[in-house]
Amino acid sequence: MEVKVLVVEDHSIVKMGLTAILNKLNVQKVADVSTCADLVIELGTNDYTHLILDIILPDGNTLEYIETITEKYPHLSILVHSMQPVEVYGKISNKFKIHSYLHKGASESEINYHLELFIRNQPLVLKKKVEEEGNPFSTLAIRELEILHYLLNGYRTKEIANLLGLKMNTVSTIKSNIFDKVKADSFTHLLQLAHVHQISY
Amino acid sequence: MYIKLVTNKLFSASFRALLIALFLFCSLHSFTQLQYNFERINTENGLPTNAIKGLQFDEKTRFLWVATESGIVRYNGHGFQSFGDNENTALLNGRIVLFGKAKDGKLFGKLMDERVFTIKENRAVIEDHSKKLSTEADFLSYKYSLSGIERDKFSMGIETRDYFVNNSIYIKIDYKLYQYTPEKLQFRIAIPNDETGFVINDQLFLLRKDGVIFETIEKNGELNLNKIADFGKALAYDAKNTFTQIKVFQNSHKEPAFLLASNKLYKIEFANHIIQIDLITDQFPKNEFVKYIQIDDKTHAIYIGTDNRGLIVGRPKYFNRILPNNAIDGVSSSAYAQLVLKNGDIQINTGQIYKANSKFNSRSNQNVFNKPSETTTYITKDSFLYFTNADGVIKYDLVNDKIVEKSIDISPTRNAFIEINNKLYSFNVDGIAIKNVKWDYLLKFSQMPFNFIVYGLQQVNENEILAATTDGLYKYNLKKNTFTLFYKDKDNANFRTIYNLNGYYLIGTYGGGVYMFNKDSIKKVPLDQNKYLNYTHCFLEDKKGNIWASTNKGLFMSPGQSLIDFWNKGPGNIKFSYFGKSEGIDELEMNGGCSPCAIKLSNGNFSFPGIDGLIHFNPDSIPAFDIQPKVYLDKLIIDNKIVDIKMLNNDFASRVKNIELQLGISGMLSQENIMLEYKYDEEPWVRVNVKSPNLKFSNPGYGAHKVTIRIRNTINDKWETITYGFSINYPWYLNPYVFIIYFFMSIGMVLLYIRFKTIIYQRRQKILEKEVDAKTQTLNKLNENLLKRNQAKDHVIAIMNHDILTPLKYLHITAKNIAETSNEEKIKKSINQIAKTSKDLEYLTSNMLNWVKFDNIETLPNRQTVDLYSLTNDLVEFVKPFKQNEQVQIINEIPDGLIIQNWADSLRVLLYNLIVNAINNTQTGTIKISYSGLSNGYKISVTDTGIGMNDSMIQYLLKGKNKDEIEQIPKYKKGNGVGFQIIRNIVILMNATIEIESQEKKGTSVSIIFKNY
Repeated sequence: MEVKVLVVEDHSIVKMGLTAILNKLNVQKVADVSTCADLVIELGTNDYTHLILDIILPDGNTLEYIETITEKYPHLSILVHSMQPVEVYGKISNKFKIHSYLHKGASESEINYHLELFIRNQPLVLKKKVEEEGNPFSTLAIRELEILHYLLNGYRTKEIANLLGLKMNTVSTIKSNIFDKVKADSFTHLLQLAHVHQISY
Repeated sequence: MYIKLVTNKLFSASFRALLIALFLFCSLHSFTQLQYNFERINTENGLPTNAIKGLQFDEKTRFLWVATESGIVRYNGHGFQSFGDNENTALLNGRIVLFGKAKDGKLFGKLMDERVFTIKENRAVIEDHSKKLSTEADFLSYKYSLSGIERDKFSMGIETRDYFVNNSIYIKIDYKLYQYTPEKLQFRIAIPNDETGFVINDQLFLLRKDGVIFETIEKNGELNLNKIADFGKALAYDAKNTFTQIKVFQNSHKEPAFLLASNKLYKIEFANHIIQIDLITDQFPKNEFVKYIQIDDKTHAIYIGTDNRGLIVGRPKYFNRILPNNAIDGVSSSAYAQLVLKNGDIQINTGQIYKANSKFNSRSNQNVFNKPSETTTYITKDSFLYFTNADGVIKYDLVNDKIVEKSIDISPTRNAFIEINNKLYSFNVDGIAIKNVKWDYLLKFSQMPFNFIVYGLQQVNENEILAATTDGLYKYNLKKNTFTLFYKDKDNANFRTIYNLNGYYLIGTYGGGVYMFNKDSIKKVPLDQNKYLNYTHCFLEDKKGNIWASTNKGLFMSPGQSLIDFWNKGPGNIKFSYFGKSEGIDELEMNGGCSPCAIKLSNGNFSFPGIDGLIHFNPDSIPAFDIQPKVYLDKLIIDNKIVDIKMLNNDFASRVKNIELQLGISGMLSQENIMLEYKYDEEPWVRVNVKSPNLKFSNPGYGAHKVTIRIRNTINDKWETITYGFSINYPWYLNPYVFIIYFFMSIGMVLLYIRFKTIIYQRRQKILEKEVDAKTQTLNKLNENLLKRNQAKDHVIAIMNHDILTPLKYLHITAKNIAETSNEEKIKKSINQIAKTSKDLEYLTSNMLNWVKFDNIETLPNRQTVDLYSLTNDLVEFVKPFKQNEQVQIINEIPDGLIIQNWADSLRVLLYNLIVNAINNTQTGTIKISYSGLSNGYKISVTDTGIGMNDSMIQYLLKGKNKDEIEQIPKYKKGNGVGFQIIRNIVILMNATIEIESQEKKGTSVSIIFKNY
């Protein structure tokens, strides 16, 4: 089966770089989109074997779509490629059927190696243990990370509940959990912590 | 003159008459008797009136009580004290009707209003204001404590006398003698000649005015009179002369009876049935209306109460003043140097001769001082007298009574002589001379004060002579022949006399008191309380070891041992007695500055030179009057008001400012022989003037006080001490209980103050709070701005991460791929340049982010387990694109699987920078990353074979300074220096150290040393 890769990335140079690497790996069919909306459309329009997915996009957070995508396109191999800390978001690969989590800060050789295994559908053997210590956000669950992004972007509880189709109480509880887990005593504090621990939003 | 007249009642009347006649003419005996000096004390001396109404000497207190027409007064030997101080006692200053001694010894009297007063130790008091002695009968009832008496008998009489005889009371009323039986007077015998009774040995005798004495004899229930003695002729009774009347005086049946005839006073004795009269004095004042006579057994003083001439006190006279018996016209009787002549008379240096020995009545033919001589004379051991007169230094042979030499070899002015080792020395105004064949000067004075005189000389040791001079005390050293000043009185007093008291030398001065010298030390002897000893002249020791000293105001006697005790034990040990006018020295001023000063006569008498004659006395005949004086509180005066002394027991009001204790001193001693001191609370003892013994305490202070008073006779050291305590109430505002209120008030004030201050502080706080709120708001705004700016900064960092760093990485990847696939060389080269630049920018951006990160944190989080080998491997891979030359090998020499405790992120950045630095400076060769264990830690090294660096560069990289310096650093590599800044920051945060070893053109090894913790 011919490898068809959809790169979901809002930086064109990153898309070009990834495309170049994939080309070197003899992957000739590489498409790309820059928004969540285009992602949904593109996946509905064309078939892809591999999906390289950035998390933070101009119109939203792809975390919300991963579960749906994995359910809807069970044969689609997904690689999350993000600047978000591995210790925080790496757990996505455990929860969903995702090939791997490739941090954008990785070395060029590591990227090459990572992508090669991804394209060849070979499992990635992690050489090192994900170091979670020291990052309070690593304790957050996927749902909490979703809510966290809304909070960091200034959404209110009610808005988040509406957007995610959740009850306000549920959002409030999750919100409360987030504050407790990262030991933030205010929104400003939460924002500071997010910056310190390189959580983009 | 002592006359003893005796008779015996056992003989028959005729035989008795014969015997009496024999006694009268044959038993006149002369014995040595006391001489008396009588002193009249009358209103001029403080007696309220000269009309004496009674006299009682209280032997217990040693006060003499004198009843007068103007009250009852107390005499203590030198002053009177009266007692009518207030309305209730005013009559004690009024006429005293009767004054006597009760059977029980109590002294009592009758006042003008018939009330009774009694004597209570030192005071006359009216104990019972209701008790009155209206009649003689009342008086006797009180005196003998009788229950009842026949008053009618008394009303008939004019004069009443009573006698207590063998437990019976006999009462003489006019010319009849009664005997008292309970509630009845029994007539016993008529006394037609108004005889006066006296009682001796419980027997009543009656004396007739002509000197006949009758005894009373009980026989067959009747009382008979028996003539037992007749002293009429012996006592020269002359019926025509009132003053020859013979009188008897007896105070009470227990006291002696005295017989007075003209100027003779006798004591009547009755023993072995014989009446005898012993002459006390034949110098009794004549022509006096004597009413009362009392004699002090201890001092033999005679107290005489007269009807209208006051009180006469007779005291034994132990001292006599001798005047010259060959008074030379124009020559003073003032005496100095004395010479005892062969007949016992004394010639003094002026030539005057004093009769000193009564055994020789004739005048002496000797006239040694035929010319007035200097006051310093000297008798050598071989009986030559040396003195100086107008003829020069005279040597007089006392044995052959002639002048043997007149010398003018030395100055004839003021020569003082002393004989040592049979050599005679003379000290005069010019120097010190020795008597050889002629007088030769041993030492001539060069600079002596004007009018320098040597008065006295004493050899004090083998080589030294002490000289008393006008300029002080000098020493002459016989061996060294030196004459030096030893001691000078601070007031420049003349030193006059030196007296040897067993090696302790007494030195008299004129105005400087008395000094003692012993073994090259000198001490000043304390003065007497009147400072009479300031001018002390002569010293002489008697047989008992007492030292007699003459002064300008009388004589002092002090036990020599007490003076030695003073020297050895200090002041307070000196005992002394003073003798003055009371003892018969009628002219007190003595002379001194002469040699000899005082002399002992062969009859035991001492002869002291005086301003007017010689003072003679026999020290052995003078008794030691070791009488203990006592002190009493006479009056208590509070704020100038006399109050009852019982009030001393009460607390005084706080307003009391002055408390005065007027003291009474008993003892009948002269005031010079009494030492009185007091101590107030715990203050030092203070000497009190005995003449006016009043203690005044002004503003004595609140609370309890104690006044201790002590008194002693100067001749002993036995202090009689009394203590009075009094208390002055605290004013209400100083009452201890009020202090509790003060305490609470103080606390209240403090609390009030605190409250007040709190309100002020609260107000200030509110103002401050407002200000702080305002400031806080401002600060919050500023903080908010800062936060926003910080957030913006963080956002920028995040953007740099996300939107710069990542795109740069992929720009590099993209460019590199394009270059690889491009066939056009120009494009390929350009794209390669883009790829390289993007890689450099990525590195730079990454490092800038790290710099910002590590520059803004103070501590690192907890260390973690780090797989150093893997971490290094990742880094090696990561930095490969930075290599200058593909030939450069980056070798990971970390042992595979090495796990360390470190900070993974920080360590990664650290090693990343070290490796990139090495890459940037290495064109060929290798870059090795190695690990080595240390004894207390480990080190990670990055070693390259690059261009190396010099020492100054190494020092700079190790220490680093500031941004400006970073700008100034010499570039040893390409780059901007941020890498080493980050390295230093991280090393500091890790508490690690950095070492750099480098050789230019050979390579560099940078090691980070971690210690175990």
